Amino acid sequence: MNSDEQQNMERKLFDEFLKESRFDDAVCEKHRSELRVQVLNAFDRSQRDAKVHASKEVVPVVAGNRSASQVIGVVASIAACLLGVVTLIPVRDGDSSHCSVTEVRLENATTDPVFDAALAEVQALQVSVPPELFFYALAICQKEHEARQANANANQMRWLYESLLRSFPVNSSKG
Amino acid sequence: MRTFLVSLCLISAAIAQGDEWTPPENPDPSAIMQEAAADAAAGKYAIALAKQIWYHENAVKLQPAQSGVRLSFAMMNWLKLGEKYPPALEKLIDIRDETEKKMRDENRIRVRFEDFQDFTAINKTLRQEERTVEVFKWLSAASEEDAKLMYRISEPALIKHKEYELCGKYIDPESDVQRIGDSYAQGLTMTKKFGKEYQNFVDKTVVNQAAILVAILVKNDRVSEAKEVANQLKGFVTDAKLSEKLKRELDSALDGKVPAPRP
Repeated sequence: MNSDEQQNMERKLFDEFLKESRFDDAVCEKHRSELRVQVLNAFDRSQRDAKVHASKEVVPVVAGNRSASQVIGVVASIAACLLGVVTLIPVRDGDSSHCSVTEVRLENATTDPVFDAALAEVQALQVSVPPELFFYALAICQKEHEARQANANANQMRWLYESLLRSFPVNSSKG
Repeated sequence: MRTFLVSLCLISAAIAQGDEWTPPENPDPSAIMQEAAADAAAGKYAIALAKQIWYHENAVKLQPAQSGVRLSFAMMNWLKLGEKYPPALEKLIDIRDETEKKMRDENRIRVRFEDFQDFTAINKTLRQEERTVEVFKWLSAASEEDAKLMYRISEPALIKHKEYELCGKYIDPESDVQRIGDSYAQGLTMTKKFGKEYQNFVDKTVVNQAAILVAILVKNDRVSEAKEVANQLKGFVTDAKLSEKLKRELDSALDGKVPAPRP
């Protein structure tokens, strides 16, 4: 098996793993397919980088095992996530109260659709309330958004950690 | 006696009215909240209460975007209603107490963020934030992991009650500095969309959060960390006027003065 075939096989394995993965967090679960695209892109990039920088020696894929280059790929994906390169950004599609993911951007993750819509709801009623109450409503939205982000990040990290564990060889070829 | 009987009749009639209200087929939470306020203003207290309760229980399920409005504007409407119609206040207290019971239930493995947030918001509405402090202390003893998740929403109540040592346990200067910076940067990008008042909120929030973080470190005898954090935080703001204000507040925090928490 040449290196391209091996890479394709590894990518397929990783893709299958991502398809099977499930998140605890509803928002993450909803956007899993988009996340999958991003992580696969990161995987591809890491494979390309590995081709340039790593040794040319190809470790054969043993049935039921993951190769060393795949481990590198997953580690690179995790590093990418830790650096914020792979970040899922759901963007809402016009209607403030009914949001859907229409776009996934790579960098400068800043918002989530519920946060965006919640701010719009608060702003719509701003004129009828005192400024302090308006600020309080904004603060509630902000803290919820931070909690959702923390939850999503924790789930993402847990999932990537699990994928890293799974990527290690189950059976050593040396027995 | 006659006044009492008249009041009793009015309340009974109002309760009967409330029983009659049922939500429409495709309810719009926002419209129902506004209807509740209008009903309260028109003296239809029981219907107003039925709508308040329905909104509280269903708004976020139907429209997640109602989260901010539900615990602020709607709570204020509920309080106003409760001042005119005591059963409304009693119901709000019941909901708060039930939420606390749910959180303390030993069969539940984790305290849910939503429950704690509801509990905190109702306590703030009722001016009973000591209840938030009490439950946070319990949670801190029962599960530090859960308490860490709830710290941000409990912080204003903890600071008001001068629980600086407890706050010190849950601050993490490195990630807090990053959070404050990220939140400020994000806020600035969103002011284009949400306007001047939102920018005002973002500016006041960054100053307040920065000063609180530094002050809590000082109160916990972590002065060198506080100085380091203060220097990092000063770098976030470029606007000259805001930068000056931030510097003043940080200097005051370094002297151990804890600012009043913003919501």
